[in-house]
Amino acid sequence: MTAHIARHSKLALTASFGLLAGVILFPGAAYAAPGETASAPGAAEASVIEPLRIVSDDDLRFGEFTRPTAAGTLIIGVTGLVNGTAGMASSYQIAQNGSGRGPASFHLLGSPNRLVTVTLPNRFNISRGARRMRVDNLTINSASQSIRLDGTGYFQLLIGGRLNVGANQQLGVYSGTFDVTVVYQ
Amino acid sequence: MKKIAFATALVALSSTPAFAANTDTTQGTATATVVAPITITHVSGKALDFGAFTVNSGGTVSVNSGSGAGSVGGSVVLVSTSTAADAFSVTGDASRSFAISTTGGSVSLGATSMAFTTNPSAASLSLSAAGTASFTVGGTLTVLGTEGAGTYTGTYNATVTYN
Repeated sequence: MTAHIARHSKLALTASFGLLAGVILFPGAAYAAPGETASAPGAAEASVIEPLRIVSDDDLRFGEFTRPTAAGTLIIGVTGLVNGTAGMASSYQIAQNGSGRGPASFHLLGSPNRLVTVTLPNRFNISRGARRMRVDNLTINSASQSIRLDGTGYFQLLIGGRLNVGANQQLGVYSGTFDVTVVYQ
Repeated sequence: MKKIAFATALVALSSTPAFAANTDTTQGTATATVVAPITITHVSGKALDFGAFTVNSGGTVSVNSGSGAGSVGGSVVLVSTSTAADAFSVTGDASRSFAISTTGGSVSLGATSMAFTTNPSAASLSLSAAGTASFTVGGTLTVLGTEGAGTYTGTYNATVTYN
């Protein structure tokens, strides 16, 4: 830049002394003559989106069932479907006097129509004192781990699972927790 | 001039950093309740006793499920103080309700049998706060009038099922 200014001043001095080199000077232009450069506006953008939130609304409730004499499983589907296998085939078909039976429910809040990846554990335990039962085969109300928030940025996530009950499982109320993580894709 | 670069190490946190608003984690809870299975026990020494009677030309003998009192139909003559209802005890989950059903049966002596039907003192009951309950069973015996004298014995089944 420094060199250009020096040349301009030199040309101006030359012109004032009558020795013109044929260069036309434009008083408003800085130091570049027309035709040598061009410019156009570019485009820039940034999207500020709603932060992603997940909130728990209801527990994964396997409900009440009689202690089986042989091991079995109790499956809760996201549609509310209930099935007992092996030793649990009839144990679960008793009146539900507690909080009932059904899938866990969460709601997601974020940016409209944006894709979100849901991550769940493969298994976790529910326990009563030292006694445990494993919960595995978790399912969600989506064909894959990828879900799309609706036009208001909302999605109700349902989670089902399979409870593994041992023969002569100890009586009482069992409870346990599991993490659910969501990430914008 | 020597420039000193400062490197900042970011510690990975298990909880969501305040600035990482593109992800979130929450805890869900799962619960289950294992309850005591229902059991039924026949009270020792008890029986559905149709009592002592003369068959004449036949008829029926009935035992009231609650009181155990006897009554007859047809030409049967009953020694009325000799009838009794059967009795069962039940255990299971406190305050839970259950249904009761009983089958019919027959009493036999040698090759001779008399058929009977049964009815429990209740079709449905609730276990107490201690997880216990009990009920009695009456019934009706069909007498043909050809049966010989003697003591006839038999069996039937009582079933309890959580509702």
